[in-house]
Amino acid sequence: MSKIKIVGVIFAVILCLTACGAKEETVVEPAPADVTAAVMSVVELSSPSEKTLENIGAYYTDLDTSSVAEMSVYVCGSGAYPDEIAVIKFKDAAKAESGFEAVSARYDAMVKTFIDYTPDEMYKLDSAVLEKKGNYVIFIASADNAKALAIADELFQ
Amino acid sequence: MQKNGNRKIPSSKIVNNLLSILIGICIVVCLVLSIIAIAKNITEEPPAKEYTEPPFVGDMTAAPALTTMTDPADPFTEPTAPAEVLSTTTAQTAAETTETAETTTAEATTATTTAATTAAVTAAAADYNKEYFSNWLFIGDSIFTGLYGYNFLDSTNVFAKIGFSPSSVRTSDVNGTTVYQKLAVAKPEVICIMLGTNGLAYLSTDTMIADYGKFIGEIRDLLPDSRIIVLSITPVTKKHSDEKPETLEIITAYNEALKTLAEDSEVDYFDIFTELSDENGYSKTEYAENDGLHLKGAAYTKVLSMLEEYVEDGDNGNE
Repeated sequence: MSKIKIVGVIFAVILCLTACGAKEETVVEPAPADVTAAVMSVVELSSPSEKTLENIGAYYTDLDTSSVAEMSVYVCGSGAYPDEIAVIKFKDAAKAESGFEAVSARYDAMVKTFIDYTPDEMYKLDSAVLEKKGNYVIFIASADNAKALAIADELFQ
Repeated sequence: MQKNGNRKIPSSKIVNNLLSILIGICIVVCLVLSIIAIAKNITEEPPAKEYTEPPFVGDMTAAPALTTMTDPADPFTEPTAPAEVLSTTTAQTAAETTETAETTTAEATTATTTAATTAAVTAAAADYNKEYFSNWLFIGDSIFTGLYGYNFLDSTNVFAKIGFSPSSVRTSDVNGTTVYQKLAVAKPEVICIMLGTNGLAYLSTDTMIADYGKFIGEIRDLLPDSRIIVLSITPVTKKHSDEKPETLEIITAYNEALKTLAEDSEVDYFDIFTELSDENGYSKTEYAENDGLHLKGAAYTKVLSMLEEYVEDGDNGNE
């Protein structure tokens, strides 16, 4: 009987160790600036101009900047092209949800503007990246959005 | 009589031995799993993410920066928008002008955390005073969006939208605010207007000039004490002129009509076309965006410095 108990204990230890040995679910939270830098190192954006929380309001009109933990955003300074990248980390998941809506609104506004203004550039918006990753919202409109997304994804893995 | 119930079963030894073997196997499995677990933790350390510095694209540096956490500023209602970071034309220029930028009133409010960031957000060789334009309002199209797009001015000092023409500026809005609402709130000392480029493709010069005249009259009625400066529209590259509706000839004719309108309306006409164009009338390379129509950052600093000098010196741009 005692040996049966010992066997039970050993099984319990094994289970415990197995659980401990399992890979921990680590949440990768890259700095938004690292993501934009990585993307912009391989995908060219036209006349990129960085926006801050103080001046992003002219572009992201629905964005509640008080909900932003950290961000890196570049727009086309000249206004000629729809090139843009925004990596915004929100303070929590709920804020990221509403943040996603705000970024979506920005995307919609860009489509509305450029569809008649520069139809030849619309492919950048048609294939644009608009994703929510945890507390992050990512928006990329560039000449090669698939490549840009692949680069961005690497930093979230 | 056999007491089978008390008789020791010979197979009990086998059971004991099996249990011992099982315990041994469990211990070995336990050790192996522990070793595997430790090895996993060692080998699965996330690798350091590496990336190369982004290239300089166009006339703006592309290196990113962490942004500061401060209160939001509404682009059209916030009366005291903070000074913004100016653009730079090259990394070298940015580095060289880090100190000289301090002489301007344009303060860099973006918190920078890396050397790359420093290069990206450092003020350019701005020979204009940003604060000088704090009570101005620039009304225009996509070309004027570059004033805040490149961070040369606060968006509060600009009422501009991609696609605006002398006609649509009177009927459309920017983020829900009409130009008249904006004027009524801002009450700018100086109103600087540049419109017309967008209409060249589909509106006649006469139509645009007529709408322009109405617009000037409406502004004057609303803000009789404000100074109104009408800017010429900007030149395009030869390639753009050859391939697109906005040709050199049409632009030249439009600017001539605009100058006449300004004289008739008794407002200032300020020629920036000449300064931004080469000897043939086409946009200088250093000022032209890749599309041949819009402007690079260098053009804005030039225009702003010219405007400041023009108003300060009282020199009439019509001459």
